[in-house]
Amino acid sequence: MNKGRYFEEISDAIVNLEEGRAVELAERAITGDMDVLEVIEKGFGTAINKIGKLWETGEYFLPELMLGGTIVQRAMDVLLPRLKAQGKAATFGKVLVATIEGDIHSIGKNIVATMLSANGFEVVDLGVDVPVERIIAQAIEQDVDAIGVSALLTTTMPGQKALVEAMVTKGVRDKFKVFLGGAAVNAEWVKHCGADGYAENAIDAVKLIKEALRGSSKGGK
Amino acid sequence: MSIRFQALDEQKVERILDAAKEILEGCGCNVMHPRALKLFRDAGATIEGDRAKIPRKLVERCIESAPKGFWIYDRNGNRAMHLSGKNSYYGTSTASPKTRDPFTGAIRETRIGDIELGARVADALSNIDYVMPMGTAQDVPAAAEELYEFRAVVTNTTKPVVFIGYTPDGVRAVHGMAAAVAGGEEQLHKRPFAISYPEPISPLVFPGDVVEKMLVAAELGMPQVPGSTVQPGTTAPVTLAGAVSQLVAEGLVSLSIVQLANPGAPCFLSGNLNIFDMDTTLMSIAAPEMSLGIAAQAEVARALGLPTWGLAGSTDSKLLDAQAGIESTFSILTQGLAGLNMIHDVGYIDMAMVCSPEMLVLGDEVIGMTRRLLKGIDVNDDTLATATIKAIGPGGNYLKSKHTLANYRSELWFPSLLTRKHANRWLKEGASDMGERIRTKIAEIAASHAVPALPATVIERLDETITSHQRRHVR
Ligand code: B12
Repeated sequence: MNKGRYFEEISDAIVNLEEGRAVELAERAITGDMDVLEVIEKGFGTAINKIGKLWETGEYFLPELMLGGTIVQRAMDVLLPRLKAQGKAATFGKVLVATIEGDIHSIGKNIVATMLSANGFEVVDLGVDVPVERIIAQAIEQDVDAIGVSALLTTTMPGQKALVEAMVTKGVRDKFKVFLGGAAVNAEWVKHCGADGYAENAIDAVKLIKEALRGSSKGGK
Repeated sequence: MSIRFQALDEQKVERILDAAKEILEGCGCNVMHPRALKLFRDAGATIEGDRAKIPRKLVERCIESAPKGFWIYDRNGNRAMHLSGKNSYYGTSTASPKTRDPFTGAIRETRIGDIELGARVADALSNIDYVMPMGTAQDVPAAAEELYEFRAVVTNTTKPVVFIGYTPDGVRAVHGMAAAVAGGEEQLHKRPFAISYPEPISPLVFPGDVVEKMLVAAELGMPQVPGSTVQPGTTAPVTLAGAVSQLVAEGLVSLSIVQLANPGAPCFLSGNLNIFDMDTTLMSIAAPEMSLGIAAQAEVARALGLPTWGLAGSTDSKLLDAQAGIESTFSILTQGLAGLNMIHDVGYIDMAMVCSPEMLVLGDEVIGMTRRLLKGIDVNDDTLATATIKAIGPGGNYLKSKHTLANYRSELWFPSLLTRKHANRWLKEGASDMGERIRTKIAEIAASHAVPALPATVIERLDETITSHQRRHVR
């Protein structure tokens, strides 16, 4: 089989949002005993980037991005067992997301969570109105790579700072990267909190976390 | 009145209402409040855990017991707004964390002074009918936020007030403050000038504290305008018909909670519909579908005789530019044409993140134009003026005619800020653009618009309420 052609086919299938074909192509990697990691990178990874480009140029919108991501996930379901069997990391990393205590705004956080898992991250979503202590305890228990906290209210934003402070006190600050989000969060606030970054929308959030975890996730991909 | 915009015909209203009832019967909603769940169960709803499935009959009984239109008064007890039919009233934006400072142009955190200024500017504007606190002040104790905001508003305007209670106790406290202003609870009850604005969560979730706020207001007989926000494609179907049915369903749940707690308590059938932008993944506050969807929701409410709620005069732009003008005009005009009763949010910029007195003043001008349009054309012997036409004849001049003198003021609208000056005079007077004229007007209002002071004893009561509330609720 021509590998270059095969990767292109994968890419086409995903960009055209054809789930059946994408899964079929993933199965072919298993039956053909191919290098699964290479298939993920050159096939599915390229496809995700292409979809991202289409969003940047205004041809695709969020629903296509979401569906594209879901299709990649389905294909990954086929590939992951093989990867695990080879003892390799199966995701880009594990991210805990939550909306901070006192705040019930869920929409932005949910979109970020969905986009993260659609892009190959394992996501632990603690929901809304989550106290700092619980975020930290869960981050430790679930052994995540990063924490993403949403706060939409100026009255609840101090919770983001309290989170970082509590992590320092508990001596776990350098165990997890901390990313902030919510409509009023900006670079200045991130600095003030001592967090690792923020993003203004879900697509940038994925980029940010991907970039930050590159090579450093505990899965080690 | 003949000049109207209608989003739905009768048949569509029926179908949407039917779909809303079907949603409540078939899917139901989550009501995270034991007492409200009990009210629903006793009235015939099926309860499983937090989920209440509400039969049509129950909803219809609640619609029946709700008052069909009511009066809202001003601070002095005069009739101000008749919330009924297609009467439209416009009010300010609210609760934003940031303010665009009209004097420096800076976008910065909201302070209590901004809420005072916003109310005073709104008080001075003839087309703004009611006031919401223009922002969430960041420089007062969070434990008594809504009390400080209410004080800031009520001491700077005599117009009716819509407030956001952040807690049930906050709602109770603001009610007490309003009673102090009105001259007693009975006075307030007879002539309400303050309306509570609780916000349930789409899709179909009624958190405990939100329900409690509704029950508090219902039991106090205080009017309320419940406003969940659907964003088609994220928290509701992307198709407007589906989103509007869900919004109507959510409104009916709020109305039912209020009616079951206190039959006859004043309540809107209300809600917000904002467009989630699939490109930026953020929420717009000025899309055309927003006005269309909100008008549709309101038409269903009006078909039931219930007061309606709108959202206009906001922009996604970050400054007072052409986009701000377009978006303000589009929503104010369409929702005025649709005849929504209480249209709020005049004054938002940056997708509801920032309140701007400039945007409010801009909106006031647009409302003026809209109201002139809505007044329509009177056709009778005098306005047809056939006799005058005969008298003046071909080649004549109507300027000197008594008919002109007698009618021009009522027939023609006079802008207060749009310029119609000769270019030379405009140049000589500084070649100002709309934004500069707006800022000049705000500076004038800030310097010289006087709002009658409340009696010292009333102010004392307000301050006492704030102090004791703060002591009890250290957040
Ligand atoms: C919808 C909404 C609600 C809904 C929430 C429904 C839900 N399920 O979430 C309801 C009606 C329940 C609600 C309630 C309230 N709200 Co509200 N709400 C909004 C509104 C209009 C839109 C929020 C939204 O969904 N945006 C769309 C999403 C997709 O955008 P986003 O949240 O910003 O998320 C994006 C980015 O920020 C980023 N992101 C988000 N999270 C994260 C996390 C990470 C880690 C990263 C990297 C990135 C990231 O990516 C997301 C996707 O692109 C905003 C105004 C606004 N423009 O934001 C007000 C707003 C946030 N609310 C406000 C207020 C005041 C309230 C209430 C207090 C009002 C009340 N009556 O009680 C309550 C608070 C309740 C509480 N305790 O939390 C104010 C806040 C003011 C302030 N002082 O901070 C705002 C700004 C509106 C306003 N001007 O009044 N609200």
